[in-house]
Amino acid sequence: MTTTYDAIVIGGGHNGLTCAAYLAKAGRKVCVLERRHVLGGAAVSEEVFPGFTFSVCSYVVSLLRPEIIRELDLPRHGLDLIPLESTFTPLPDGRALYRGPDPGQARRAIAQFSAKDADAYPEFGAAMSQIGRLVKPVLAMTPPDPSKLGLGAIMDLLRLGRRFGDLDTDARTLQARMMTMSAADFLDRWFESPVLKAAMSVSGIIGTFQGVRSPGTAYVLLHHYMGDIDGAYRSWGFSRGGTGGVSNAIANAARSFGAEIRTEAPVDQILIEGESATGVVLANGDEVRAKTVVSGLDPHLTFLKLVGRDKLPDPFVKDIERFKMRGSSGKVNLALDGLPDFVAMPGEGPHLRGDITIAPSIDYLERAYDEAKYGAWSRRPFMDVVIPSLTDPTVAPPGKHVMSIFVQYAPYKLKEGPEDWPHQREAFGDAVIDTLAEYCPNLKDIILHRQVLSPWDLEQEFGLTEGNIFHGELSLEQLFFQRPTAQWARYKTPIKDLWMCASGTHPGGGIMGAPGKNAARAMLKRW
Amino acid sequence: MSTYDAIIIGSSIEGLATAGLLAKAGRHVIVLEARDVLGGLAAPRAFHDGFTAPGVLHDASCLHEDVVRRLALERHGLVRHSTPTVRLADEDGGGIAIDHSGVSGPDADRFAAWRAWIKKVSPVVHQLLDNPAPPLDGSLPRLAWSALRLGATLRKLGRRDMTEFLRVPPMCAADWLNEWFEDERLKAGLAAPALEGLWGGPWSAGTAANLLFREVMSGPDVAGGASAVVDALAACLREAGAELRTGARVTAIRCRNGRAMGVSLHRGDTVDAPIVASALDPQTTLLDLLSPTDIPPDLAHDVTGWRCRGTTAKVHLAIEGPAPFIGDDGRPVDVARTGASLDDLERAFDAVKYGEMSEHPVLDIRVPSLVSPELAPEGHHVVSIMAHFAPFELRAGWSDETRELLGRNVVATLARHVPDIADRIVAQETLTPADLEAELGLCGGHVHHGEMALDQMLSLRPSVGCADHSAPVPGVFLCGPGTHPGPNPWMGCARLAARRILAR
Repeated sequence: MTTTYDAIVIGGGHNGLTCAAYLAKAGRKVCVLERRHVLGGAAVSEEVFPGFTFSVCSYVVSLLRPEIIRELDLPRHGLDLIPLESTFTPLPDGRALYRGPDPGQARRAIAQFSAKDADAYPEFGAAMSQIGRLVKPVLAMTPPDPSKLGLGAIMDLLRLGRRFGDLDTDARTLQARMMTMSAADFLDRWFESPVLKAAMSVSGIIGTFQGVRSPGTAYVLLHHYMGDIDGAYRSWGFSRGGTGGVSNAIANAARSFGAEIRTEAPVDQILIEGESATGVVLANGDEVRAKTVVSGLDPHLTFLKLVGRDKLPDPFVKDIERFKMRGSSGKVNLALDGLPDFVAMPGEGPHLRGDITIAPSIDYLERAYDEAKYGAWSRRPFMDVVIPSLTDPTVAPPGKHVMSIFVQYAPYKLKEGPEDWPHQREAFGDAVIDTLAEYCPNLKDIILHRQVLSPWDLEQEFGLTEGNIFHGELSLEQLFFQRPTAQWARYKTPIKDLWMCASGTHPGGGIMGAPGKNAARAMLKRW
Repeated sequence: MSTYDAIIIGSSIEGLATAGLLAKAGRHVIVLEARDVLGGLAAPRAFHDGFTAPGVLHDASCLHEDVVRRLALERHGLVRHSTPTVRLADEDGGGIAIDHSGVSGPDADRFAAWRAWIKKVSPVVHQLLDNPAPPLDGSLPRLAWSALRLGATLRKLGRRDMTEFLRVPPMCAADWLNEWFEDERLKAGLAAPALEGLWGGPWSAGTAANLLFREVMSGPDVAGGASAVVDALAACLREAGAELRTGARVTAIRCRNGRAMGVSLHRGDTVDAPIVASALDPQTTLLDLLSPTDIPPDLAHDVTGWRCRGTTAKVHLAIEGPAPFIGDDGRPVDVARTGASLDDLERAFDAVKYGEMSEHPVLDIRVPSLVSPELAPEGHHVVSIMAHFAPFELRAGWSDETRELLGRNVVATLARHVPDIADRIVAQETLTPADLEAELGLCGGHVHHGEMALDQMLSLRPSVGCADHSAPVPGVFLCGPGTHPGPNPWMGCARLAARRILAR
């Protein structure tokens, strides 16, 4: 028997680390246990090929909460965010929609497709920001338990209600509608150009097993507008050194507050004595004891594997089992000998430094989803491409580049079963390269190395059940006070002293850090 | 001085019921119907010599019981009979049956438990659908009050059922049904009617709400189908002294000093009344019948985005010989559904997304002549088919050829279950969504006046500014299924609209 900690955090993903940092900052004795040799979970940078560093899984920093950056003083601990400010959507007919950081330029670019849309574009942004302001405080909330409303929860709800009350009828309508609409229908209400609508709609489907025409995807669009109102910090960007840079900065902050962080320390089991969690058992048989245990893993792994069904109430097990994971995305990482040359905008230019989206039409995106619905990967997928080496030269040797391709859809559950992914992985990778090469014909000539990750690989390698990058589908019935289950959405679990702090809890996935921080706050309240 | 207290535009079931409720309250009412027959989608269709289909809408099992009672529709000739047995047909002639006692097959016990849960939560669904929608445009205390009342009903369910009730409606029907059942036929058979009029398949989020609402609201069926409801309502109205005028198409709602004063008819004459309630779809009422200066631009903008993309086609067959489906007991069945799995349903919907009709539509089939033999000559039957899915905006455009292709697809699908059907067809009528628009004036050919998606329900049906059934113009009201609570239960919109009008 060695040290007893106040808290053990299972998993050194960015949420686990955030939770640990906040607990340590409050003076608690914390130990983080990470299975792999690197920290970060899915927010990780690795030198996959010599000289080439990849953000292996997640590829942009989307929603990292500004208050976390501030409170943990992350820039001092090495966080360096490089804004990602443009979106380039090449079209198969050789045209392109390029929306850069300058509003005037974006307007002119959109006007090429529709003058009406060019006018509506800033209005849309303003309307979304107004609603974003309403939703933003929800991210930092511990969700209420609607079946057991305490005074605190009622006050929270009243505050939310007041914000809603402050909106005019128009904004209330917009807010109420967008919660359940499809991204395509929602954009139809604003815009007429199919090209713009397709390019914008993809924000609604990233990481979900839904199509742009699936109800519920409009809400996800909103997240993109929350970044714009954060002022000092741009929420969309690259992290220098890859997304692992975020995790490392948080880890450094946690260490500076006295947290202990161990890698290559895989947890096999959560120790439960009587009603309470008392520590963990590592794969090598070592026991680590603590007053509380916090899981930074997804709900399936946490409860069905590390705790065990027999130690949990039956209805809870049932709720966790039906919590939908359904990974839908894959990743192709390329080491390049040069830059891709797009037919639609030849040569090097600012369009390569931002987001490159292969989303030529709503029907194209929807057909990609239709294939996945019936258990096949999309032969002509949606792709979100970035070339971080253009803005961050540290990730590739001089003159060379790294390209990260996020691909949808790659359903975890293939018709042939998920275990067939190793046989289909490279064919899937070929389809991705072939499709992208239609837009930049030189692509195949400049590929030095390629890494293809299917959802099955994400599960095997990163412990993401069914390869879901958000620790659970972001569908309406799995959000807020129902994430992961209606009775246990407040970071607590049915096991005393066992807590959850990752994306399977409110407010969900993305490199946001909010679940980690919210969980730490909820735990500290108990102490 | 106007002669009438209120004008009702449109003689659909909602229009007639609104008129009935106002007339019962002593108001002098006139109903104006553009066509020569009463009933709109529920009007009988004599589609071939001696053969009549009792309405385009053929499932009359979702009636608001409160209105049935208050208008004494049974005294006026409405005959209810028990919930029919639904045959979920296999291609080999087999299949399973759902009736009031349950379902046959491996899911029998689970089905009973599922129905029991639905029964348990039905008070909450009633609370939602029988009352005005929460006033989203109202003051915060009013909104909070409405939320508290709902919360109180919810809490009576107990913790577990309450959280489950909050979880289910936003789900997709497929996920919900998969949690309960194994038999794909059963899942498809339950999901199909809930998808009627939706622009979505069973994998679309929110369709569980449609399924839940429908299960709660379904009751005994009506002998003679939708047309029999129209007949009873008309009898009730005549007794109450209301005037029913057919062949009177309203072209505008007239306003003076910002208030309703009557309507103009297509022949140029006018009818005056201080109250005008429209049973037409929200876009027609708010954007066409009212003038753009009458309503606020925000509302006009919101209603312009109202989605009413029809996806349902209707086929009527006059057939010779016995009814097409036979139950396990050897007796003919009057309700049957095709579609072997949820994925079949989803595939049928997929076509719509790309502007195509499904090659293998999913069919909701009724044989009304089994219950009402007078609908067909002896030795013959009327087969009424709702076919899912066919888009209003067909990429190839609706024409005689595409209509015929649709009809052929439907018959070919039916023939997979009833091989000799094609030889027994005496006559066929095929109504595409475009036909429904042209003939019945339904915007987008939508049988429910607008998709019943989560974002077009409750306070958002049709828009926050008029979810309480009153248009922004004093004296103008909406009472069609494009308002809360929507298409099911029938006469639910009329009930709330009439209440709103009488509260004035």
